[in-house]
Amino acid sequence: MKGKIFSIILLLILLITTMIQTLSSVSYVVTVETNKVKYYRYETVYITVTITENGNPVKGVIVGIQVDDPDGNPIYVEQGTTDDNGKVSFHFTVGDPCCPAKHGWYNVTASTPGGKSTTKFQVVPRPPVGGKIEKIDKIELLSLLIVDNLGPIILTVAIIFVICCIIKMFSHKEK
Amino acid sequence: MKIFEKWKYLVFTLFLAFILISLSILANTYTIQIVSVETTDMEGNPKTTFKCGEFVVVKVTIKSLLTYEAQDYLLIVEVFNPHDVVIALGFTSGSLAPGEQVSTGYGFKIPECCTPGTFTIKVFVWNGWPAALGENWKALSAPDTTTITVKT
Repeated sequence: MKGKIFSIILLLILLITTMIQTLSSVSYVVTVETNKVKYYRYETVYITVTITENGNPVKGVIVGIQVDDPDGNPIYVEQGTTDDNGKVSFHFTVGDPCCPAKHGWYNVTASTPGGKSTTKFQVVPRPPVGGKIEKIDKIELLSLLIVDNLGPIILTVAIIFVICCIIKMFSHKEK
Repeated sequence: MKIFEKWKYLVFTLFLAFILISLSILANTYTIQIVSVETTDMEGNPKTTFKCGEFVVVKVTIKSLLTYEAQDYLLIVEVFNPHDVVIALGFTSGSLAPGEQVSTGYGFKIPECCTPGTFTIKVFVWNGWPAALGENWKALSAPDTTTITVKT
């Protein structure tokens, strides 16, 4: 009789423990972050994922990373396992001159059995070296050309005027 | 026999515990093994040194470690150049019967304007895309890596 009761109690404890373990294994808090929000082409993106459970870091959790370009196509995936601090890091370079990356917002998703998190970063055009070029319309461009070349233009007009005057003077003398 | 009669409930409990622990361990381990990853040319000849602009075929062999049910998989092949830039990302999906072993090939072209050096090829076997599956995502195998040398 004692053996029977002992076995039933043991069985119940085992079942409850298994149930608690199963339920608690799906309550990870996943956070994903990049080292910057804006990147230029050819820069390296560093992604850090942190897994916690009830505020405590969880070691040994397998994490999957997916980065989608502005068109929603995957451009980078990776798999890693969290360390003692519940962290796992990934990095990749945003294109190179041979494979240029698109400008726009990229979605980063970190998934693990029991948790998911997303973040975004932006790839922006690199500013030109030596100054900023702004949009100029045609009239503005024409006025700039005139103003910049005002001296030679006035000189040319003056020379033409003088020549015209001389020609007119000679023609009057001939009459 | 009398001893067994007396402790039959305990024996049953221990047996059940063994089953539960085994299932718990199984749930946290990989169910597919990447048997091999090799690179070949277009004719299927093993090759590890290529030139910019050439085609590479990545031949991956995977095997199901499950013995009781079939499983669906997503196999991803990702290629990095020496500057950590992903120059190719391909995938295939399928289903593996218990204990089944399959080989699949993924071909890609090394860009004409490539950077010579060591290119890294990574292979992942997952149950789907992390962005699509979210918290139901799971890695089915440990990732595998191989390298190729690219010359101009």
